[in-house]
This record gives sequence, structure tokens and C-alpha cells, in this order.
Amino acid sequence: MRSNAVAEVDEGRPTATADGSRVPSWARTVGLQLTVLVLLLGMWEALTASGLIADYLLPRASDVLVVLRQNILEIIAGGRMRGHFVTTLIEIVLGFFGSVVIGVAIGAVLSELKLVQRALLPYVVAANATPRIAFAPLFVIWFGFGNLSKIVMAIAIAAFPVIINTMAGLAATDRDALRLMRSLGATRTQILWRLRVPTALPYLFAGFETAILFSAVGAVIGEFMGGDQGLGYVTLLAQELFRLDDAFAAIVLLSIQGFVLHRLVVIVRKKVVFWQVEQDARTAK
Amino acid sequence: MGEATHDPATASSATRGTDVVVRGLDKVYAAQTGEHVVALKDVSLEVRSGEFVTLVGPSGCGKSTLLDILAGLIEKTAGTVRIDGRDVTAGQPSRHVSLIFQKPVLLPWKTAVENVYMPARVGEDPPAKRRGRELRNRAEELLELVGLGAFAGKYSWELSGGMQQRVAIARALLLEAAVMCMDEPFAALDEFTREQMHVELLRIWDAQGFTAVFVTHNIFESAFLSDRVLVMTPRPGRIVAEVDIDLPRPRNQDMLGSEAFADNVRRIRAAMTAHWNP
Repeated sequence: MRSNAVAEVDEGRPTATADGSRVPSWARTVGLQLTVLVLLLGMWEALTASGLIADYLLPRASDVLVVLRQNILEIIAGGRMRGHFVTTLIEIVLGFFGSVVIGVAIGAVLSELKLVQRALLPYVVAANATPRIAFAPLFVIWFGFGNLSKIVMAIAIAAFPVIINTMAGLAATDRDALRLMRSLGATRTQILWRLRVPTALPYLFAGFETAILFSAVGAVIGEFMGGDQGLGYVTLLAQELFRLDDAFAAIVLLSIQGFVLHRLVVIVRKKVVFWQVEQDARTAK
Repeated sequence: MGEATHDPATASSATRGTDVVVRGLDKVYAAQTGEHVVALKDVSLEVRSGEFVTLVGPSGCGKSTLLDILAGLIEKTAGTVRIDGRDVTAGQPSRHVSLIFQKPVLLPWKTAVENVYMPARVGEDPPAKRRGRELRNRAEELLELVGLGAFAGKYSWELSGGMQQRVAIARALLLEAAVMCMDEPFAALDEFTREQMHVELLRIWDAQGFTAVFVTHNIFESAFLSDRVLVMTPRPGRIVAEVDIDLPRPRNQDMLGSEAFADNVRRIRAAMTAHWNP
């Protein structure tokens, strides 16, 4: 359930420079990562410029970078690309918050009301097992070609990790902590807010981290199905016109959006669930 | 003095100065298979005010079940349980009993002092409402008492296992419960820390004057800490013998090597083997 949180690499910790080097370890890590990027781009450029890979299969890296630079300038200056960029960003963010609200609500109801859980759990599991992408054409019919059908698609995909982690988190309360609370005469509400909800928070945030990425997937799928806005639409149009450099540039922008949004969720998690970060760091040592 | 077969009839006359009175207590669980498991059978005991009594026995003898009933956490099947003169009813825990577990169960999002203060903030009528300031001060004093005055602002994950358990002890003392029920509180600690904690616990018990009901499967621990040891055997869980410990107080670690200590351990062990063949 917490794979996202666990898989994280801590690159920022200053370590003693055993070899006497004055360069801090985070700077060396960043240097290493940039070297890999330059090497990959160089290989890509060499393979395409030499004609080993035809340009109708893979555009030249330098061409993609030129388009990307142009796109970024447009986004900053307020050109055509900004509209697409902002549209997708809004879809992902609203899809994420929709998933959080709906996912936590459904997860909480399922874990608190046992009768509802018994009645609905198989259908929730079945819905989770259904590829929601199959609903994309229907969502266009129901919710139109605008933002709404994209946001609904994002929620349809991203709400499930939140539901499941909410249930797991609310069930994770330590048995002895419950005994303690009961022996102190704590009310049901007190046990919920002072023990069970804080205990569930690390699980919730693991779900949120997955949800932000799933929301991006849902938004792009939604854009593939119809409409004339967003980076997913730009990618699809460019591919149809065989403008592969345009397509790659849009994909890079989607990747940057996803990366930054995910980082934001991680930063909020570290602030809110500060004890989990510290506990993990200590167990990892 | 010496080993005596546990006879509830002789240990029942006076209830004055007695904090815990248990008579004819039965606890039967309905297992999932439909059969009944007798966890406790005709258990009777009394603990005098300020006394340190240990329940010692192997796993499955119902020690923890007995503590849960004393704390009002689970229903009893038959018998009477009185703490401080009041009947204990399941689901209506009284603040006369406080619990310490094998795990410290501190809330990791709260500092040490906030954990100690936590009991004041829960309940139908949280004590913090009327005695907030007084209990805040008491929480800080209790951390001093358990030797963690300098760690009030630390989180549980910044403390060692022994320190965490000290915080748990301070938390159990906050509301001045008459009876402190301890469920193998030092079982998860290493040997050295555990021996330190034994001396610490006795010092705190001496200073605070609560009645201690301590559960363990460690015979040495029971001999070192207690005034009286009640020996339990499993299937069904019952008290089979009572051993008075004749070591002087205050106790210290030097006693662990003494002949008198060895003799007390021997008597507990003899009582156990006389009634139990696994």
C-alpha cells in the first residue's frame, strides 16, 4: 500500500566526504543525473542524425528541443500553447481533488458502515478491475467534449487508489492503542479523530501520490477521445499530421507536469505526515 | 510465608484497604468454530491498597484476559470484579485503572509530554476541561519522575525503547488511577534495559503509592518486583498458587545474585510445576 512512499530515493542527505572532495553529495548526484540525460540525448541525436533511425519513426532530439523551447516560450508569453498547457493542468488538478474527496468519502463509508461494506465491496472490487478506459467514449456522450468528460475520466481512474488506501488506513489502527483509548473512556468520535484518522494519514497520502499520476493518465485519455484542447489533444493531432517533433515536445510537457505535481504531493505529505518520514528514515538506517 | 495453595475463601474476609477484589471470575469465549474456550475458570484474588502483585504464568493462561476485565475492556461471563469498592462493568471503564502494554503505544504525531497529557483530553467529560493547567504541570512533573524531563519535546521515534516505555508509565500515572495494570511491559526490552526498568518501576511505585497488578511470564521478574506472586496455569486459566516474596525493600540489582532471591524463584517455579505439566 505504501510502495510509493517506500520507493523514494533520498538524494538530499549530506554525507561525509570520505574521499576529501569538497563537492556536496547532492550536487554530485545531480551532476550524475544530468550526465545521463546528456548521454541519452546525444545517443538519440546520433542515431537519428546519422539516418540509422528514419525521421518518420523518431524525430531528431535537436528538433524536439527546438519545438520544446518554442512551446515553453509560448507558455510563458501567453501564446497558443499556454491554453493547451493550462487546460490539461486544470483537468489533472481537478481530477485529483475530485478523486481525493470522492475516494476518501467512499473509503470512509465502506470502512465505517459494515453493512454497506458487505453489500458493496464486491462491486467496488469489480469496478476497480474494469478498465475504465472503456468508458471514455461514453463519458464524451454523457459529459460532452469539454473539460468535464476529461475530469470525470481522471476521477474514474484516480479515485480507486484513494478508496483502497483509505480503507486500509482506517483498518490499520493498533490494537493496543485501541485498548488504551477505550480504557481511558474515549468516545467513538475521539477515537476516530485522535487515533484512527492520524494513523490512516500515511496510507491516505500514499493513495494521493498514486492518484495524482493516475489523474494525469485519465486527463490525457479523455483528451484523446474528443475536444480540441490540452496537451493530449496536441500529441494526438501532431501524430496524425506526422509532426513527431511536436508530439514529443507535448509529451515532455506532460511529463514535466506529472513530475512537478507528484513532487508537490510528496512535499505536502512530508509536512503533514512528518512522523512517517522520520520513522522511515530511522528504520532504513 | 512460603508457598500456599491458593484458597480464595481465606483471602476474602476484609475489603477495607483493598483495591482489587475478584471473586469466582469466569470468562468463556465463543470461538469461531462454535465451541467454547474457557479462558478463566473460578479466578479469585485480592490486592491490597499499595501492594505489588504479579500474575505469572505461561502463554494462554488468561493473564491478559484478566487485565482486560479489570480495566473494563471486555465482558466477564460470571463472578464479581470490584476496583476501589466499585463494580467494574465492561464498556464503562473507570479512571481507577490505568494500563501499560508490552508496546509503549505512543502516538508518533505527539511529543513525549503531549503523550503523557493525552489521557486528560479524552472521555465523555475530559479532565482537561476543569484541570487543564494542573494536569499539564503534572505531565511535565511525571516526565521528570521517570527521568525524561529533558525529553518533553521529543517525539516517540526520537526515543529508545526503554525511554518510550517510561513515557507510557508517566502517561498511566497522569490521572492518578488507584490501580496500575501492566501487561508484560518490559517483555520487548533487552535484558540490561529491562533490569534498569525494574528498579525504576519500583522507585516510581514507591513514590506514587499506586496498587500494581503486573502480568509476566518471567519468573525472575515476578520475584524481583512483587510483594506477592499469583501463579496461573492455562486451559482453563486459573490461579493455582500464591507465593509471598520475602525480599526486603527497597530492592536493588545486587539482590539478583543472592541466595534469598534464588530461593524465591525456586518457590515460584515449584508452585508452577506442581500444578502444570505441559
